Amino acid sequence: MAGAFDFFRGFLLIMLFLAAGKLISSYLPIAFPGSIIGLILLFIALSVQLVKVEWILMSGNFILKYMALLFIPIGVGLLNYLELIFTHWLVIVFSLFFTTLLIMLLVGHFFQYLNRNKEV
Amino acid sequence: MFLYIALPLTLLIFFAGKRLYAYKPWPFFNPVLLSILSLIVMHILLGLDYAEYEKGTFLLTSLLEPAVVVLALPLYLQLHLIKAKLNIILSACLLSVLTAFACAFYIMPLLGADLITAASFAPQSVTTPIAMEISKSLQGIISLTAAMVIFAGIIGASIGLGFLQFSGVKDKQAQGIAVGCASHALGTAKVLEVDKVAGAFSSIALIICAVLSALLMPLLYALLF
Repeated sequence: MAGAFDFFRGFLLIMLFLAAGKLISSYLPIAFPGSIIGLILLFIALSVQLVKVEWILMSGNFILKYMALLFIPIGVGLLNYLELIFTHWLVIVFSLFFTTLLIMLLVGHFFQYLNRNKEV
Repeated sequence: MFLYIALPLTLLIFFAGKRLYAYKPWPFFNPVLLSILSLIVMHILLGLDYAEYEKGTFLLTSLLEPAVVVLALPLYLQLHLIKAKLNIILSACLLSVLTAFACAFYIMPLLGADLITAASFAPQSVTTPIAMEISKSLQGIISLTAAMVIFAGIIGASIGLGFLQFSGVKDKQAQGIAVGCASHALGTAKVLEVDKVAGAFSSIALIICAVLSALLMPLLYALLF
């Protein structure tokens, strides 16, 4: 029973921060996603102990564990772009692999180099 | 009818995919990639209606935004590590954003991409909601950007860690940063499954890259084109 309560309290808090983020986003002069603002707000709330980490640990970890699953419907939505993808397929495939791998290579080595004195 | 089986079907395929991946962990057996491909093939072969599938799986899609908010959790739990390294994390993310911009606008045109296509590619490594805003402000094709973002995520999630290990990036924190920069939340979801610390670095990289891209890319575009 306590588990269910913990879970819903956490979930409710997460939704509350999302709603706050969206509200702020709607007042911004530039388009900026409410979910990222919600993330920053929740992070600040955790840091100043306004929200105790135990309150969202259970539901948070649950969502993080199955996060990959949430991308599937959007991915299937590529169905709607098949024509677009076929027209540009060569440059798309190249851009995807070249850019993604190049970023990982450059950033990975760069960070590893900067991080070489780590003791933690 | 399909409306009601869309969600159970997706769960079934995803967990079957996870089983398969646990049994044979080949990069292209990535459960997300396999699920998306098999569902697309099913839609085409059986003539299923995507609008119905979309409605039926609304619950999953509506959890995407809360999932972004939840990324505050790994960030907070690893705060002590990140605080000490904020400067080098920022530098790495800046490098990532500039690389993405240069690739899209200076390398892709060599392969025949026009300015609109290049603009659609520029935010491909950034998490979907922000990528679409950036694409809009660069006059790109938003739907093409959405597709690119998912593919870039799948590449990072499926072969990212293996590629980094192979290319000599052994530092777990560097691996997290690199995957977060190149493959946003989809890559981060994968890194979190493997290593909590690397996952936190991946989360912060995805957030900082998203914010930096949203601020810098429209500015660079206005200055250079």
